[in-house]
Amino acid sequence: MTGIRTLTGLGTKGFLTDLIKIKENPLEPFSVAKYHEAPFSNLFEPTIEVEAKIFPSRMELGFFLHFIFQEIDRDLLIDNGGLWNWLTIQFFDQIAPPDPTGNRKIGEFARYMYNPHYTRYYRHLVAASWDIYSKYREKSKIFLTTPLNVTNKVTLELACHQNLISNENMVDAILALYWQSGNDGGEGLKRGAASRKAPGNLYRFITLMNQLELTYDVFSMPSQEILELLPVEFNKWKGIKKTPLKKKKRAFFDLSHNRSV
Amino acid sequence: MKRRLNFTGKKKIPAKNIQIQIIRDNGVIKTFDAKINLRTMDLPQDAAVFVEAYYRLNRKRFNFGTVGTIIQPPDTGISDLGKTENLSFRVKVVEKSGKYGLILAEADTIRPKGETGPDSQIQSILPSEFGSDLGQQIWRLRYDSQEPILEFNKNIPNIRSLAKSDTGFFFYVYPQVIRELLTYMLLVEFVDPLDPAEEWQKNWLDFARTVYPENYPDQWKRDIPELKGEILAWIENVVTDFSMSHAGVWDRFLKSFDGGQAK
Repeated sequence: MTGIRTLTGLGTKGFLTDLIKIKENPLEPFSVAKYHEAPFSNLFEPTIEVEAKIFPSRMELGFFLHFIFQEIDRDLLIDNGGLWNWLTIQFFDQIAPPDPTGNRKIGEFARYMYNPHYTRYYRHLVAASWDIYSKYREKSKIFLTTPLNVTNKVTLELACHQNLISNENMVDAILALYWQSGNDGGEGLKRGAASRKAPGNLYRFITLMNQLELTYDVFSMPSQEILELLPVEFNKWKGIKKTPLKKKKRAFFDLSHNRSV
Repeated sequence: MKRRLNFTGKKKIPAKNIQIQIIRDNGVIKTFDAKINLRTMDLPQDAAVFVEAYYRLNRKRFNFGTVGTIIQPPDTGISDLGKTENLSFRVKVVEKSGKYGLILAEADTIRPKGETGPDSQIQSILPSEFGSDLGQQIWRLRYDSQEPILEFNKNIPNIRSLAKSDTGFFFYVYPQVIRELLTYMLLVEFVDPLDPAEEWQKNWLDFARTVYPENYPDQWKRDIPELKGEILAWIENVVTDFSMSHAGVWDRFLKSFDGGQAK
């Protein structure tokens, strides 16, 4: 068991240097131990003990963080970069897992180093897992059903639109449109939902909602009303089957467009 | 200049018609009071009025009755939202008769009015934070949020009280904050002074124009470098007049040096 800590300025600088080194040399060893003591980190107050744990997905990580922090004032957690960065280090082997040859792939630094900018903070693999799970609980599956080192397309596209992601009815509508649960217990994004080519895809939904939000009070609409507002291109996702066009029987001489004759 | 289309005739509620005051308990923000005046706006009396408090993913809505009868709900608790020091508010007037709730009028990114202190005017348009470890700096402006945030170093004892009521602190910090912010807006971000895109930019330009109404930079174009000098001169005039307008605070500041003899 280890007491949760927060990185100091020195610790943050050290972690960034480590990330740069690994990015340049994916075989660079990463040592967690030095971040477990001063001057690289301080003990988080109140004291919370955590143990080494394997999380199958960000959903489980979000649940775990929500559980251990449920008694803590959100003010102490939101934007607490030192805390989120220390937790990233704690679970680093899952967040930047080495492949069988020992190579680690480091992506955008905002995934590991907390950036408070409102269009960046949700990229942090740990902080965003907590933030989204603590707000949406079971519904956060549409954002968090991925391994710890992966940000899914829904999160990438939706989380930077704060007006949308803060609206639970909107999240319900997205689940209704693009999420499927199989009979075998498996569930996930519907095929093609995040394809820009498919009509009524997730990106189109976001564009449309951003337009509708300017005119309608979407926040107060139940998800069913949001779905009703969507144009026909979304029918496929709503489960409405295309009805074949009936062939109009035409008279040999169709004068319907020439009534004056 | 950008053109905005407004097909539904949605009205903008002037900032002066809304006053939001946060209420603390033992220094911690708990609830808020809102005064909303829609009398002059020609809106249907039965349209619903909502106030939303928000920060990032967190949003909480409060029903303030109708345009005809604006009533603050008994519970305006916001302590569960997180980052309460930096909450923004929006007010929406929504049509009740239609099925989908057309927005008839709106005001967004409203900052609560300052509480007390020498410069409540700045506090009301500039969110501040007192929980940052700034090393050996006293204050810093942060631009990575939706609007600039003035950070104070949490390691300085009584920093909150200093920021609100210390006369020396006032003159060491606020003129430079105004100078930096206006320079950032006009010479770094190239905000168009005649058509600022965001509410916080408009608030700052309105504030600056109130302080120094002359020579407002209405011809600013980023591709005419000669105008930079004029912009900088205008900013300096705003800062000078802002400082001059606080003669009483200046006197108290001088008194603090010579045991009570104001010069």
